[in-house]
Amino acid sequence: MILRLLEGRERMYGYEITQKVKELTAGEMTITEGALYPALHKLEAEGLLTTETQVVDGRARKYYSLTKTGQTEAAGRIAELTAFLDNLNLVLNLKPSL
Amino acid sequence: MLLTTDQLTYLRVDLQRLADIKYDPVLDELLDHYATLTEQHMDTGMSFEDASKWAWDDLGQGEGIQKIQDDYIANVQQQIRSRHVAIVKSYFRWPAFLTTALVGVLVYLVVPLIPTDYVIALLYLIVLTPTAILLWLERKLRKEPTSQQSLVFENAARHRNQHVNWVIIGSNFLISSIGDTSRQAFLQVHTTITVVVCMLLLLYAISFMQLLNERFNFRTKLA
Repeated sequence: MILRLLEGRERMYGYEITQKVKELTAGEMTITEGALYPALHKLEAEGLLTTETQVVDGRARKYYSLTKTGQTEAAGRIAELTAFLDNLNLVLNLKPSL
Repeated sequence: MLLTTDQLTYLRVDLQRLADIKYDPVLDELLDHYATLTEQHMDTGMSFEDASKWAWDDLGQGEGIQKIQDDYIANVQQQIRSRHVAIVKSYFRWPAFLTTALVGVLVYLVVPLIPTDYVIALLYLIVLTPTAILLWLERKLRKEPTSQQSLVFENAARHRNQHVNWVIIGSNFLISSIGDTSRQAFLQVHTTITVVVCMLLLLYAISFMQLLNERFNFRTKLA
């Protein structure tokens, strides 16, 4: 989800990501800070994300963006997930008689 | 509504005291999040005190916030281990391997020439010098206890203790050999064993020195 969000944007910061998820799902889905930051740190450690810090409103703000590897990986993971959801959809739409 | 410097300091202290957040990268990131949440609540007409309480709950309170730092520490330590392994491996790759091999050959040639009475003192010197340098590097890094580098320092300090334990084990062997000429000369007669022991201890210590000295940077070294 994080990779997909960053794929369409130049860079995002933590709070912005949580708000974007809420906005896109009309509040149906939220990403907690306790889940978001460990995921961001892990993706960063894997070299999929890169960061830059900028002082905004008197405090340091850390922006995340996709690396080249991250862009490739994001495309691959999204394709995998789409294929999985398509298959799941096929199974769920089976008629009981089948 | 933008927070004042005093209000930001108040939030920073909250994170440090109530959630024990001590590493600057985590502190800065969480402070920005905490401050943004507080500003959002203040925009609805809340006072700073009420808004910060709501924001604190939203962030997951002390325990939830601590977990973020715990996860960060585990993540960085994993990278430190990977980097350390990479450094040790690099000593056995060309051209660094040439230096490793030359030092090994030098030890191999020099050890039989050392008078038996001095071999123990010399081995102590070889083994304890890197430990002393490690201690000196650690002292330097104590000046920045909240940076990522401090995690490398903590990791190195733990391993330095292991290094010292190795010295103690080796010392016991050497001390037990006093008075017995054949055992005392053991390390000179079996020079290969001496070389292997010395080289292992030296590589072990030097790899930590390199790790401490290269200003290990979370994630970028692995990218």
